[in-house]
Amino acid sequence: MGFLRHIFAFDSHSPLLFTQLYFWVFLAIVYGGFALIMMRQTRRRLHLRNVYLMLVSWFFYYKTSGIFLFILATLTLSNWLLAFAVRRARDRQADMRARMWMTLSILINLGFLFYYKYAYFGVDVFNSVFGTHYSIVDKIILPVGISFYVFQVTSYIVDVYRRTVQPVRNILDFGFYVSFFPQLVAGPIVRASEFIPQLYKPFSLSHRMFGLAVFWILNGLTKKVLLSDYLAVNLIDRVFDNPLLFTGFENLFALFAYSLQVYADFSGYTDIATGVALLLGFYLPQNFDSPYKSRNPQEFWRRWHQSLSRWLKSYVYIPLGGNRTLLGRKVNKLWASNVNSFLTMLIGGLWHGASWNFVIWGGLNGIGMIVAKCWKALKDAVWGAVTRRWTLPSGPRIQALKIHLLRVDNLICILLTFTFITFTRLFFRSGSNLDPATANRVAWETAVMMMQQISGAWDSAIIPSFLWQYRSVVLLFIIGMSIHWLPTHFKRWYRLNFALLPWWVIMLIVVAVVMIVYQFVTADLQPFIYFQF
Amino acid sequence: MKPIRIFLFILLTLAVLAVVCWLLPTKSYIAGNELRSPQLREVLEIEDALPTDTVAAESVDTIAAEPVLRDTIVRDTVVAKPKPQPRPKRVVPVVEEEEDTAADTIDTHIYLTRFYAALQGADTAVVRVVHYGDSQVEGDRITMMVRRALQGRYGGGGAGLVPLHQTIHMRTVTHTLTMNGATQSAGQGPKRYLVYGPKSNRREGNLYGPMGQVAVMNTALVKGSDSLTLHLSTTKESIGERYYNRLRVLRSAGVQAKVGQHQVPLNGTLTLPDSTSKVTLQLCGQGDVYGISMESDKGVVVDNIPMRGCAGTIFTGIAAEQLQTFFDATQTRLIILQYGGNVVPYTKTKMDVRKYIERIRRQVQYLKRCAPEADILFIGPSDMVQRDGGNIQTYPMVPVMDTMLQRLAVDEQIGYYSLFRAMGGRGGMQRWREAGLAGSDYIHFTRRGADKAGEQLAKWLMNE
Repeated sequence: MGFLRHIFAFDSHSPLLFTQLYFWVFLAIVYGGFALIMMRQTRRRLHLRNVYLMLVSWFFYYKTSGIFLFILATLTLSNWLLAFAVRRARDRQADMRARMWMTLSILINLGFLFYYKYAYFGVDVFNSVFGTHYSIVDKIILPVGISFYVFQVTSYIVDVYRRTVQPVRNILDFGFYVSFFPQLVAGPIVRASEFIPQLYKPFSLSHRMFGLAVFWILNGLTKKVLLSDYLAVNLIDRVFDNPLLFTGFENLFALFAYSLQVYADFSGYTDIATGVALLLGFYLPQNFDSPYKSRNPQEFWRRWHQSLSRWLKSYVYIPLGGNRTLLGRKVNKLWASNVNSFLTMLIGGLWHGASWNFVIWGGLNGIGMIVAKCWKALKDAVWGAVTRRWTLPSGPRIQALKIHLLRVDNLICILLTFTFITFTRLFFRSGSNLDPATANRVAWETAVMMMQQISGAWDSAIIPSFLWQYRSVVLLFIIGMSIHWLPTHFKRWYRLNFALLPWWVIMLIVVAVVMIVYQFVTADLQPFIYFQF
Repeated sequence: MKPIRIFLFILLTLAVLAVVCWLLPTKSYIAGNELRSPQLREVLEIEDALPTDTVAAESVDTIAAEPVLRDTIVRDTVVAKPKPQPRPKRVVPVVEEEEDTAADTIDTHIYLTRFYAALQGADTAVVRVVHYGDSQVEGDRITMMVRRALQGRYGGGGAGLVPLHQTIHMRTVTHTLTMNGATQSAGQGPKRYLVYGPKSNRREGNLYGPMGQVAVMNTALVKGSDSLTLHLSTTKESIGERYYNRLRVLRSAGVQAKVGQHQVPLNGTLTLPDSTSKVTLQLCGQGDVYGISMESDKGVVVDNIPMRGCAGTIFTGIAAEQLQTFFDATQTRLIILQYGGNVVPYTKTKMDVRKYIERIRRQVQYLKRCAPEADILFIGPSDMVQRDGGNIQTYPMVPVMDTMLQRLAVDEQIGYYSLFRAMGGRGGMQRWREAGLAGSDYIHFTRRGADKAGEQLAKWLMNE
């Protein structure tokens, strides 16, 4: 009974997570119904499938957030209705009215988001500015995934206004698009133009795609449990909780390991979502493209959480003026681009969390992007001047040398970018999951303490002992980063070869991976060891 | 592939997993490595709540006035984690709690009467409290809150003792040691010897001073310099103890200490202006430096003496004359010992606990001889958890040790403060963790947790 209750009853302390067995049993049951419906692929059956999956998704969200399902339903209904109003006004050339309907829709969307996510932050800022002492009496609980689906419906209404998408006629289809459970709580943020057409296509999944779906699921599960949870529990969280208990080297290692952890955690979840969606016959957009291979912060944000970056570009950066205007005024292209990028990153930071430390984190990324752009412009200018002034020698040896130097330059750029991104995360990690005032204080104090340890209390004599005692953590970090930095074509090769394996081999691999993952889930906690006395 | 085939694949995979779970024992060993297998029973039966003590039902917010403290995994030396050996299926012994005895119900405040009496005269004399502990008190954590409470009520100032070479950042004191203008970080400057930690840190003989650590300086060997400079500054965070008016430098005869032009007496204190919060100390010569004390001429002075990784069984390794001289000269009226957590992971049976208790008894008796005028308060380990499969549960020996320490306290007529019970007994650490009061190692408190534990201890100590 406990097992079934766990699957079907709402328990705020026990949401359905991809890393729990219950989710997979839930998926098996859901898939049973799905398979039954898809025995025949008529148009009616397709419609039934969409309704079925929408109800399943709503149930999934109810399991995760309980009564907040109401918000999801409200946003679905309001955006569906207002999209028609927008479209009708556009068709009648009533642009002002269309804009008004769109604004109303956006206000409703952001209203929910601001109330549930930014109320504490807003009050905190207000109190700071005006010296008041207001507080929020009721405890506001953040509905799971609200940041994602609010952005999703906002993109829909704007796209309808921009005429890049037709309003979805059937509210059930639209509800399905908004609430599709694999990507509901942690993205990727799917645009209507990418997803809606799939609602009307018959189910089709080749053996290869099936294999790929299983690969993504296993890949995500392994990332989440081994590279994220294990590293976090056994080293990273400890260091961030009490940086002063650890030497500079340990702090530095934990900081870099956190970069891997946060990537593995987020991309792992996305991988599982992609795999599950694929099993149901739906394609989700790629969300991560080996971000730590980036040569500069700009490229990093093209590879990291791509669906968010694209969203911010389309609905924040470009409306701000892009590289053409600044606050509605035409200015220098570089100037407009940099300021708008910076503002977009600040907003992006705030999207990640409602406190100043996230804004600082976003700002740091914005500054990093600007500096990298300026550096590149300067480098190109100097190189251009040099090549104009002098004729450089050429020949096969010189070419080989150039290629060699380019590789070294690439490597340095990648390492620098990785280091920069890692250090910005001092602010990201330290203040997560806390109320705004506490988040700011904790983030600042933790950042200061960690930097203090890294810059001063560096006892190199203990490094070998640390590496040995924490060998499982160190090894996982090295393996994780090595896989991350593997060439893309090689990754594609082994992914494809996995997908082409016979089904029973895939099944055996699944069982083996689950057993391995279980070893890490239940592993003893890494003993706490002191290296410095 | 048709959906029905994919559905069958999912079902078959789950079935194979179920069969594997059914066939494999919970734990098996392959080439010396433990292989755990999920059990169908544990999957199908959901545990609704953590096992807790009956006294533990209180929420973290309502936990009564006592703190938590436990030491981290005790390793006096950096030794390799024991390699898992193939062993027969072994179930962690279920330990019955000790049966209640009369000693368990005694409120040990009654053994701190001399301390309380001294506090009544704190307006004219110094009452010193020396708080020894393991890593839980590092950086003045917990102690700071006790100091703040005591000084707030009975007066007094200063942050107490700090070592010459501070390797751990303190919340209340900024500490910079320079030589030739260069800051000395860990591993630089005077050689440090510790009575705890790796054996390589020991010195010949037992002259470690009251802090259990000594810095041996020889400025004659430093080219181009004839002194070390120590900048001490109490931080704003310390509030109550920020200002002090006396400075004491515990050292051997060969070391000279000066503040500006004023010599700090070898066996006494240098009087400073009442509002002192910063001091620059010059040290030169050859010999030992055992610690520098920022204190007031009356009221309460509280020392924070953390010993990382220590189980509290090292006091007999410190020369009795040194301890006697210090406790006597500084009017020490209470010695707090906060240990036990570092042995918990390594005690498997009641016999192990008893052995530890006897070692602690020797330390208590030794300290009593060294400080006949002082009362002693022992603070036992906090709740500590281990992971057994996917479950997190209290180490079986924590409640046993807690009970035995309480009895030891009654036997030896010293105070006992149970951190374990203050946290709510079994499962307390996990609740503190969930409330953001404990770190993810389930060992150390977060700063907030340490403050809470310190406040609770202060309340208990002041009998509120």
